[in-house]
Amino acid sequence: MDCLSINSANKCCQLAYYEAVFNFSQGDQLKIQGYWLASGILGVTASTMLRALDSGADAVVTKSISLAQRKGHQGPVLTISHGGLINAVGLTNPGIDAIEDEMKTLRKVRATVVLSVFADSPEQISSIVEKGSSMGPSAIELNLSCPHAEISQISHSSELTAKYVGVAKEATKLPVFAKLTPNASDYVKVGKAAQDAGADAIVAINTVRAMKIDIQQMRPVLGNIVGGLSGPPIFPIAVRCVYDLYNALSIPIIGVGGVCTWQDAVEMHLAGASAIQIGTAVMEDLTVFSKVKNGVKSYIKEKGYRDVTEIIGLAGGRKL
Amino acid sequence: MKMEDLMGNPQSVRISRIIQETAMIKTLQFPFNTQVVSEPGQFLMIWVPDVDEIPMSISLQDNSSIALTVLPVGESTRQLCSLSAGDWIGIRGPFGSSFDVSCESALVIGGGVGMAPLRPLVYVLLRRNIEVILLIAAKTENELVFYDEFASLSSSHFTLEPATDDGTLGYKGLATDAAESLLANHDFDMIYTCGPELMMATLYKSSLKHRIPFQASLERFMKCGCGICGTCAMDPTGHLVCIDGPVFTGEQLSKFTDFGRYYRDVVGIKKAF
Repeated sequence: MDCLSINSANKCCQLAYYEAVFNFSQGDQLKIQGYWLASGILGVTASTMLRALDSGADAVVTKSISLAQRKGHQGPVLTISHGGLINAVGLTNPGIDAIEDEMKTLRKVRATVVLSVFADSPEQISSIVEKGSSMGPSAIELNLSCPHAEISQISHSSELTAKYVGVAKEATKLPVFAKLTPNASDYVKVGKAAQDAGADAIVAINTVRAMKIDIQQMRPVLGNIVGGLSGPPIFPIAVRCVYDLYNALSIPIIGVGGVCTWQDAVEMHLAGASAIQIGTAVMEDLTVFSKVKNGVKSYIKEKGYRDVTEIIGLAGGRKL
Repeated sequence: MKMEDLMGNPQSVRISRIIQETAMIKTLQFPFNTQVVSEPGQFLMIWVPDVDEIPMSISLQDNSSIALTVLPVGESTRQLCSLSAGDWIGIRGPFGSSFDVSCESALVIGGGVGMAPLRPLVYVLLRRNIEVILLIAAKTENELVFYDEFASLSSSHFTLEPATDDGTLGYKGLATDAAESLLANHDFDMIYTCGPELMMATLYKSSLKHRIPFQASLERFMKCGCGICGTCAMDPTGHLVCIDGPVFTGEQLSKFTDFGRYYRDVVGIKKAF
């Protein structure tokens, strides 16, 4: 038997379960607002993504998917330093065809899902975006920036970024988001290139290149040696990048990087983020989404605003 | 909670002792911070240098050390079994749920190296004066794990029942059949098990038939061990074997359409057992 032999009775039973547990009222139209599960965290199976949505996430972003399955890096793929995680999972994923069943499950309960994809050539991006779009996500996020895989180079180059965004836009009618790296020296220029190529939003930031050395064994911990830092230590870096991008671009910015509390979320909104993705903080508490949402709501009310949109970018002001 | 605690406070330790349990299976013992006390059923993430990081059940903890019991089945476990005293490994944890020990008369069923997390469980149960029948099962006599250790245990609350597929020791036949005959002749108020999932799934059905509460320790591919990678998710509820498990109750298992049927491979593709 193989994975195709999962019988239909079992599937029916699963779907009945999802429909009973999750009561989604939201349609397919994705609004760039709220608090989303960031890519790479719990995003492989429909069941865990639904659990995140049920815990208050307004949308979920899948783990980054490629055309063919990918094993990823040798372990350890995860370690910790100074209160932040360093991961070098290496884009492990089952490939776009294997994700179809998960997407079908999510679509049936009208879950708001952003499909994150990556590829190492524009031809492959075109192909995976086209395939992925047919599976009914609300938007496509292009991972152009995983710092411990070959694709990291894309978002270091305005030309490559524009090329990938351009072919993705041609391949789909869905909104296309470009996820950028903070590791490039001129990420604002890269962001502009993505915008000019038609990106509907920028997702900033991916993880920060980092490593950890074990002082007893006197060697790097991660199988891949270098990984990407996430969690609280990168929050101020993310705020700076979101601020810079917001002030240079006209498309929405989706802020991500170390957000743990409603105070962090407010700060990121003030820097210019329309929506916020949360990843590492899920490790401590899956209900972080609703806690952040409620905290921001109280803050907005207390400050005399009606809606969170009124504070987006308020700390700097878009110079257009 | 601090991120370091959530990540299981990674540290490197040197293997202090290696015990040959069967021809294939070894127990590796190493120093462990005694401020962190593991509960039976919990596991550690083990960094096997140059190979990988994998989850391993804790097979015993004392005042100054902790142990794993390893069957070489893949690259990481083969490498672990080839290590010597003095070699370094990285550890983090303990992680996961543990066996709930509130009962009065327990049937404990270990299949093969599945005995690892059940060993500390049996000692905890006996310390609480709980009646324990331990069924240790394997293909053949010399593959029974911890048989000699438990055979030499003298406690009025404890009975050891070996079972071998080939009948070289104890009950001749499958663990599930041996368990069924014990269930027919004794009154238990809890069944604990760890071993091949198909065995555990059959035992779960027996537990329903006899209306006895059930707890089983599951195994899935894991990368993080701490609830973020999602590799070990159970459908359709999204329970994670690393933080919600590895020990699940019969009630939880009844909601998993995957239990006894499917697992996800290392890239996340669903496969039938």
